[in-house]
Formats: sequence, structure tokens, C-alpha cells
Amino acid sequence: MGKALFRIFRDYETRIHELNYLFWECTTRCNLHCRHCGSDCTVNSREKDMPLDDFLRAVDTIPAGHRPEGFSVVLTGGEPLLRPDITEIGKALMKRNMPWGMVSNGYFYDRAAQDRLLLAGMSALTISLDGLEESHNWMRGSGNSFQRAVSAVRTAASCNRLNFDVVTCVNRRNYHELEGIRVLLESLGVKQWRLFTIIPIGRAANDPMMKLEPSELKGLMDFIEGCRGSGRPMAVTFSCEGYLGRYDNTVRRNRFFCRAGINIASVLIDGRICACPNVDRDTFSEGSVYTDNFYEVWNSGFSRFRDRSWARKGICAGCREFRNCLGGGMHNWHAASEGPLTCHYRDIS
Amino acid sequence: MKALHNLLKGMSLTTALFVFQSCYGMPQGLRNDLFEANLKLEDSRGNALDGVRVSVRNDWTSDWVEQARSDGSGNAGILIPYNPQNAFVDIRLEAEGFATKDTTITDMSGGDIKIVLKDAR
Repeated sequence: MGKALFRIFRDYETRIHELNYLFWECTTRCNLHCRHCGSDCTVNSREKDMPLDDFLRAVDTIPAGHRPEGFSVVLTGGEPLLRPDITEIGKALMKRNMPWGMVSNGYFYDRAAQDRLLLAGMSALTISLDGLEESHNWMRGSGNSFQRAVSAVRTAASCNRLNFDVVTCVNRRNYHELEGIRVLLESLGVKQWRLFTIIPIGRAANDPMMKLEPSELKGLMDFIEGCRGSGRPMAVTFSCEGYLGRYDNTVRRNRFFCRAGINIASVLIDGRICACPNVDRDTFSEGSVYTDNFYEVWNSGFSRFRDRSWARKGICAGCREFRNCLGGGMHNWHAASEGPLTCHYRDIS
Repeated sequence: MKALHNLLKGMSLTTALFVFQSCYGMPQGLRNDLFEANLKLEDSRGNALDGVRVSVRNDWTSDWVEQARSDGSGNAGILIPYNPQNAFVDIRLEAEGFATKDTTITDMSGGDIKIVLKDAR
């Protein structure tokens, strides 16, 4: 689809802003200590897990007729499998006819857990694998997390009742392992592999190994482009981080479109309502499920997500691609910044 | 405008696929068909059975997974996703002093389903 036509589509999608995708940051506890964690999660989080009933009160404000086909709830964290009530959560969502899934580090995901989760209605899953053994364990701060993650990937890939993918955070350490990871994932039966890069937030902000050099970023695009044109069974895509210029339509299925606040909302650990959980919550939260009606906030709030004219500043001010990019992903903007934290288009160009 | 919107959606497959691009999320969830029923568990004399373990056979792995325990009135609710192409649910009932019973529920209309457990021999 041409750029002009896609902009018309994007503007129309923005105007109708159907809620398709709802994150619930159900815990900020995590068994691992990842170098790139955008949430600074720890084993003993300061925040208590949000009670299930509090979340359900929020989702019950969404009228059944207002949930579009494909509406999904995403459990994220932290590590969702640390919630002892995860099957109760799933059943409560299933009872509401809400498809749900989760993003997991895979450490606790085995066949028994999968059976329980499937019967509680889980239908989508993402597991993180951040390199071959040494790199993954380095990234995740745990000596056996690679073996556990690989075992989880093998288990999930063999299940035909899950829409399953693997996500890899590409950094300077694992950049040279991409082909090896691809071979490994294909051997495990994975059908979808999603790659993303690091935005310098949370724990990753001050780690020089996390952010790719411009030449490496371009190399990553070439790698994905090559995989996508190879006719192999595993679909390889780049995530929705930002506009990519000449690669924008070749490393993804669609052109860049940040849907945070347009189709995506989140209920954060403390009840705040936001878009994707990695968006700057102190700046862009839109209320709280403890004081506001969630669905009213969705309908009447989120103006900064739906009108991005404010983002034409800093390096975006004079950029000729602004109308295609609108300042990149919303998670790229933080209160103190006079422009986006990163610009893939500039780095690649 | 709506027609153009649908046309563009169709061309880009965006509705089905945009979540694959979500940098922080998972692929879109699949909608499951659900089966909900209440089991009424009794012994051969018609007494309600408390604490009967109800397991459901996972129809894609064939493993038995515990779903519920009956209450003091012999009620045990099950709510599971199931495959409409194989529209039946295998369950296993286990309780101390009674013979383990495997049975298949073929009535998918929901509601109460009475099941009698025999004494263990």
C-alpha cells in the first residue's frame, strides 16, 4: 500500500480508536534480573500485585458490544507466571469471552503449566530469547535461563492451540548471533520470530552494550529483509518501534504505525491507565482504574496519542518524514526529552 | 469513508496482524469456544459427594488436568475451551473410597449433569 493511502488509513483508525489490545501489568515481580528491563523489575517488587477483582472491575466497564473482533488481554509484568492465581485470572477472562495471552521469560513454563494455562483459555504467548546460551544468560542475569527458555519455546512451539512467537532484543552482544538464533528457532519449530532493539529507558538507559551502532542497525534490517525474502517457514519481523525509511515496508508486514492509545491501552500495576506499559507512565498516564471509569477514559482521553502534532520538535521539527513517522513510537518520548530518545530513520540513513 | 477503511484494512491485513508488531506484546489471542457445565456428584445411594476431584482431558495433549473439586452439595463447575470439531469433553472423577470414573460429556447445552460414583471394590 502506498504511503499516502496508508496515512489515510492511519488517520481513520486514529479517529475511531477501537480498543483492540489491553495490557495488564499484573505483577512487577520477576525471577530474573535482565540488563534491558524497561520496568526495573525485581524479585521483591515495591508494588504489590494488583488484585484480580480490581482489574476485572476495569474491564467490565467495556460494553460487550464495544469489543472489536480480535480484542485481546495481554498479561505482562514482571513475570506473569509468578502470579499464583494465573489460572483464575485466565478463567475470569475466558468467562467474559476475552481471548488472553501473556509475555513470559519462559523460566517456569513447562508442559504442566501449559496444560493448566490452555485449559484456562490462554490462546497467545510470547517467550523472550535474547541470544545463544552465553549471551542470553548474560542478558538475563541467570546461569540457566537459556536452557529453561529453550525448553519453554520447544513446548509452546509444539502446541497448535497457541498463537505463539519468540521475541529477541537485539543488542551489541547478540548482534553477531542472529543467524545462529534463527537456525535454533527453526529447529525448535518456531513459526514467528520478532526482533526489536532497545530504547534507552529503565535499566538499559546507561548500558552501552544495549544500543546498536547505526551500521549494526542497518545490518539488522538487512538480516530481517533477507530472512523475509528467503521463503523459509519462520516469519521474521521487526517490531513497531519507529519509522524505518526505505525498510519500513520490507521488514514488517505493515508500515510503521504506533497504535499506543489508538488501539492499545494498559492497566498498570498501581492502577494507572496508560497505553503500552513501556510508555513513560509518569508523563502519559490518563487516569486510574481506582478513581476513573476505564472505558470513559479510553473514549475521552489519550488525546496526546491521537494527535501527535506536539511531537514536531527537537530532531523531528524539520524532518521531511514526520507525516509518515509522527515522532516514532510513543515509548520513545519522555518528559524531559526535547525529542525522541532514538530515531531509527536517522540512524539508518 | 467506512468502505475505504475496510478496503484498506483488507489490503494491509492490519486488523489481524498489527499486534505482531507490538514491541512489548504478544500475537493476537485466538477466540476459543467455551464449554460450561455444573456436575452434580452423588454416590449410589443419592448422597452428595464432597471433595471429588474433577479432571478434564486436554484434547490436544491427552493429559488429565484437574479443573475442580466438588463442594458439600456435590457441585463442581467446569469451564473450558474446547474444539467444536471434536465437540465432547472427557472427564475423570476421583474420590477416596470410590472407583475412579472416566466419562465423556456429549451434551454441550450446559446446565447440570448428574454423575454417580460407585464404591471402590
